[in-house]
Amino acid sequence: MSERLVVRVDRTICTGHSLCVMRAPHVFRVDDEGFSLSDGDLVPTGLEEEARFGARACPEGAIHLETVESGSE
Amino acid sequence: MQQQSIPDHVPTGLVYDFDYVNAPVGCVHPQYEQSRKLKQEAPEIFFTPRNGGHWVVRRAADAVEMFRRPEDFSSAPEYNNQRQWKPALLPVQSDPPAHAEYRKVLGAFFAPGNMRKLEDEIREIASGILDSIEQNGGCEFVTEVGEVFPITIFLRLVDAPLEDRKKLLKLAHTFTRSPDPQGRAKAVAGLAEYIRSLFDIRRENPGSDVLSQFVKSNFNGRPLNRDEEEGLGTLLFLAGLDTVRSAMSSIVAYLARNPEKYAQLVEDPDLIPNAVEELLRISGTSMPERAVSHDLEYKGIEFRRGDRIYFMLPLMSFDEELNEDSEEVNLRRELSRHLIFGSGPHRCAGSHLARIEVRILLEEWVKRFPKFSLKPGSVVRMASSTVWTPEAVELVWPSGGAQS
Repeated sequence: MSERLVVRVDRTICTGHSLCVMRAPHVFRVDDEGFSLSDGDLVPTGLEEEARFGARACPEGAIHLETVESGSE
Repeated sequence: MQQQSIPDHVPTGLVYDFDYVNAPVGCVHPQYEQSRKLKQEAPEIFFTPRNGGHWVVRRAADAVEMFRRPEDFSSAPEYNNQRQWKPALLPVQSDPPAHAEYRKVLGAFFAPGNMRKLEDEIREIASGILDSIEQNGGCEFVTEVGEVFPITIFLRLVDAPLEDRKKLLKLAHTFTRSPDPQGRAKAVAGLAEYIRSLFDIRRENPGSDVLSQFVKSNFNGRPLNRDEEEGLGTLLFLAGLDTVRSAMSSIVAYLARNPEKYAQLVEDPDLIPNAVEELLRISGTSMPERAVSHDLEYKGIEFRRGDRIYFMLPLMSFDEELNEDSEEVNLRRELSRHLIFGSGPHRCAGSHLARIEVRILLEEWVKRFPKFSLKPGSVVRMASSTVWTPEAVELVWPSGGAQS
């Protein structure tokens, strides 16, 4: 079993900066007003670095990446 | 300068003399210089007797935490004896849950996608302004570009005549340049009066402008009342003008002084979006305020109801927790982290527009001015102002612009 990353977003903390999607457009999704829609998304294989980068860009620290066994999510 | 006594609950060890309005005066790069000075001399959270007496927070981590606790660190005027403006500026002078409702009204308009639709129009405005000065061989950036550009965009957003520009700029200056609460209150009232006249027109003939949106929108199922409309409209004006002008002026002054950095943008304009974030990082202008809503302790410090706290967002960009080598300016920096747009529920609603404005200005600037510099003998003086800005930035370029 290989390991995959899952996006966890604390939506009570997200305030719509949209920096995640600015910095990692292939990983993150936001709604019309810039609030994250990515909670629970599986990070596409090969884009792990981009995902980490986008998560770090969040000024609120609202994004965490969780490692899961692939298939379990 | 109003010097006040220190309240009894403030320990002497936490008192540090800091005047945020005058701190930039005499600095070349106040954000960086003042951050370094406070790191060396001041506690992480301290009390200054200046400007009516208030606390100062200079670390990013504290700002993020406190902004997230509006029930303790409130934006509402009822706890702040220095912000009794009429109308109250919305949504900045409100707390959740009402704040979220006001914010929806603004958020829909200033949504990233909606702002991107304005790009062509914004570029046209920028091009027009720069075309008009290109052949002059130089300009005073603050008044000729920095001020004109955002107010032209504002007047388009509210669909108001361009000739109102002068009157409005004067009121905006009174608000940002005066730390005196009464002077500021008067400016707010003057702006509200102007905005009121626009609302009266929109009620009769609604359009697609942002004020018509306010007229049409609702607050918890009822229409906004007049005070609320005017509070939203006035804030829109105050928030979008001086801040953008100041940041742009600081950025252009920085690039004029650092031709090797500017050359990177000229050689590779694709670098501009990334560079904008790094340039914004070092050019913060605004210091938001909160008031303590009840007696409480934070990190062992005793706060009393009504204590005012200023957050030095422009200095937080130099917090090593946010950026390694924070004092180095690197236009290719992988991630330029900063809080100049704040954080938490009150995060600047105009941040998406502001980023577009600055990016387009630079994209159009590099097309016309492959080289420019400060006018020989001129000095960029920082203003005494609640929004940190250069007084004037005198520039020169080879006359004939790109053609020469």
